[in-house]
Amino acid sequence: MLVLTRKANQTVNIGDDIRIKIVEIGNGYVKLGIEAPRETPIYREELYEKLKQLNQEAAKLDMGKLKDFLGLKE
Amino acid sequence: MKINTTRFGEVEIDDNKIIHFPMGVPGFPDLKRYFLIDYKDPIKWLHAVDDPDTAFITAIPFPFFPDYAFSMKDDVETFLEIKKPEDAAIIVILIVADNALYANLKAPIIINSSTLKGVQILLDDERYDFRAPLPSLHQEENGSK
Repeated sequence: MLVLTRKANQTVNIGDDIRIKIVEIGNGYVKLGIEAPRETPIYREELYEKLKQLNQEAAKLDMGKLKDFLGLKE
Repeated sequence: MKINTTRFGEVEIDDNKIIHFPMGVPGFPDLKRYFLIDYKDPIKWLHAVDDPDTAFITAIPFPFFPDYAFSMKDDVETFLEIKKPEDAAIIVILIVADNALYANLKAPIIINSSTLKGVQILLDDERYDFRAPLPSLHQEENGSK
């Protein structure tokens, strides 16, 4: 992993089309401004990981449980 | 085409109704083709074409969550080639946990109903949770009129 030191208002370029600007440095956080091509998805990692995990759980859904919930079991 | 599914056995689907998720679905990057199976209205299964095991139970959110609204970013509209608002069909994935049913309102699936191209997006909106308890529709109906 490449580690860079930047100050507020400085920017990191990744290739030709991604720019990450340090907008603000606060107490225990940094605010980033990201410019990237429209098709590049940008996510907070922990939220994206949670979504992946939830989708994997959702895909294992048991029919019986669902039918119970919907009152479909005769 | 005929598709094998673990939950529904062999299912015959119309090739013209296959929904393409060019980026896959988060957690399933390699499964890019899905189809919808009507279940119990407004619930539908979103089933992978290329894996008999992978299917999501989904619902149209609006009957359950009448206030559910978000603004679609330009990049999503561009990606899905959405030209008019009525082209965008929105569904949410349902999750069963602890004998209750939850809807993932944080990450809706948007499908262009003309081109059948879909994507699951992650909303940057603190009002919506990954696990919003699904209200009973019957109560809604009784309560509203």
